[in-house]
Amino acid sequence: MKNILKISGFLALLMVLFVSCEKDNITTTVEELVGTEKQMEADLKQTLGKSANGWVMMVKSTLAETAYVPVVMQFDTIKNMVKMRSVYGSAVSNQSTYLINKGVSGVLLNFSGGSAVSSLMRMDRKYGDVTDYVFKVLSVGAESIKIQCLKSGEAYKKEGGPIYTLFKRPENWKWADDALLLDLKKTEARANVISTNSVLTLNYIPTGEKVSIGSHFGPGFDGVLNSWQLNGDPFYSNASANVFDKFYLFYAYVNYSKGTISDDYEDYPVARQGHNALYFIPFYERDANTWASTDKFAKSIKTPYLVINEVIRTGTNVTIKVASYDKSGKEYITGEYRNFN
Amino acid sequence: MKKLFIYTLLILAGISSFLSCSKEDKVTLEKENLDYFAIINKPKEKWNALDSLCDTIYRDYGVKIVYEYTPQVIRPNDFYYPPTYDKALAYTRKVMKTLWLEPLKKNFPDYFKRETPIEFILMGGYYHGHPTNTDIAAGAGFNGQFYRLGMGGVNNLDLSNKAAVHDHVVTLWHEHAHNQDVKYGRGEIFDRISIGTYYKEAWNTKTEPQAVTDGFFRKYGGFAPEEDFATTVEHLTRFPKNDALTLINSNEKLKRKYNLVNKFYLDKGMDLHKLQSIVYDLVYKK
Repeated sequence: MKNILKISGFLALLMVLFVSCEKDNITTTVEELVGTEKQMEADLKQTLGKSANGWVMMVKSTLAETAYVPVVMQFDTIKNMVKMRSVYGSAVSNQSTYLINKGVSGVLLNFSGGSAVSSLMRMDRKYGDVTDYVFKVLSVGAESIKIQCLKSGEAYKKEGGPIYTLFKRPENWKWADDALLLDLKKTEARANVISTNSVLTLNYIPTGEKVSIGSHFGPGFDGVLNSWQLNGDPFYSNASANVFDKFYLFYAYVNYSKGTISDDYEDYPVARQGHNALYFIPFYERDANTWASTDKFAKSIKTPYLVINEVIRTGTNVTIKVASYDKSGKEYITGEYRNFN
Repeated sequence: MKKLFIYTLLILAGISSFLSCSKEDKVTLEKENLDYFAIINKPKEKWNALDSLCDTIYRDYGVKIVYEYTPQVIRPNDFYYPPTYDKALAYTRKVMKTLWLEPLKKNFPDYFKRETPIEFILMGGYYHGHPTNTDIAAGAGFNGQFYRLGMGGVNNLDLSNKAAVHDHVVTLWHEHAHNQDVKYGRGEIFDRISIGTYYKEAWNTKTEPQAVTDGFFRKYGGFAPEEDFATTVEHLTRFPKNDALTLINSNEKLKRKYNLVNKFYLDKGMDLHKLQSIVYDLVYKK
């Protein structure tokens, strides 16, 4: 009996010794990992150039929950240049360089020159949640590229910031084309838009909710614009983030309770001209009222920006078609400014 | 029997512990050629206009202009932001080539050969210790190393504004003075001139005339000896010789600092008064 126990114990031990290392059958080698990395690098190089209208990165502003801010990137893979369009700024020439580097974490997509991305990293999180202009490349597919900010924020914080899933720019995003549909810096664009009463109607696609707000774009502070640009433009006065042309701004008076065209206005948020877009981000902290009005407006319409996809002019009647997008680039809000009933 | 059994067990255990993991020998150390931080030069077919200009400058002057940032260039816990492409291109052409390297090589060939840094980093903005805080630290912020120089504020420098350009080039020579200080040392005699009278963090509470009375060319020079040295160089690069000497002769400490700094530079082949007039003429008269 004792022997049986011993023999059984012996056999069991023997089995354990032989079996225990089965799971050590390592199939991934460093060579294979390097191979995967090289494949990803090659895929990324190719894929970046495979969207005629560019790729879109949606960044999150602290001013909105569902609306995300688009940054469109068009890659020239021959010269490693990238052209970016965001709702901020309206510079026509906005090319910068990019590099595909290797890092200890794998393949890196590095926006190596000053661009909308480096600017957003520097700006307040109301503008976007970008925490680095260098990104770890997590996956590359034909229709999407997943990237993650290498740094997560301040010095000595963990590696790995927000993750973005880049997708191909939808064809109907006319605002992201080079052609300027509405640039209120220009006199011809101001006709029947500036100093004109209108109504802003917005449709919230997921809920079916409709909102109408009385609207009036004030004149553009032309007399003081130069000095305001030098001292008050949050991008220009912040050299590290200064990648756009100097701002153009005006009061976008609103009447929340009276959603019709009228002469009465309750509040005066400030709108800034973006590339075929208007954005409403409080910035002039010395003027608490304007700051609060702009903050209130962005939160009440649930988006810090409205892109302009079409401007229809019939005589003096003007319709400005606007939209705001969600995280995946789907229309979250559609609507229009209209200066006639 | 019992012993034999135990020995067998031990031998088997021994053999298996040596053999059982032998399949792991497929795992090797990382290949020697996998260098995550290798500096790979951009292939020529990918060059843009600025890359070509930087290559010409490198061949003519031996200075590598860095306008693209990678984790190899920028430490991960400091926050520097790259300049925009258009601004960097115009800046390199005008400031780097026309206002810095060309006149330096032509007028001070020996000084150029020995004292020119091998890297110059263009910064869009300034040094930040935090990614989004609005506070900014000193101008270039990283010029305490003699092989590399850098200037901040490229994104905001209006190249059509002569006063701003002049100020920028003078500041460049201030930053380069930090290079020289680190490389050779300004010396104990210099440090003894104002010992015990530096303003430290209170420098910004002083007025410029007060600073001159206290023996500093600028109130910022009163911050610390290294800035005292750099602002002396800056003053001589900024103001015409006669004006500079009038001020210098009004104060014993300024005179002693001037004599030391002027000799420090002359010994290396640089006449700061001559440099001043060259820079001034290039900015204002061309």
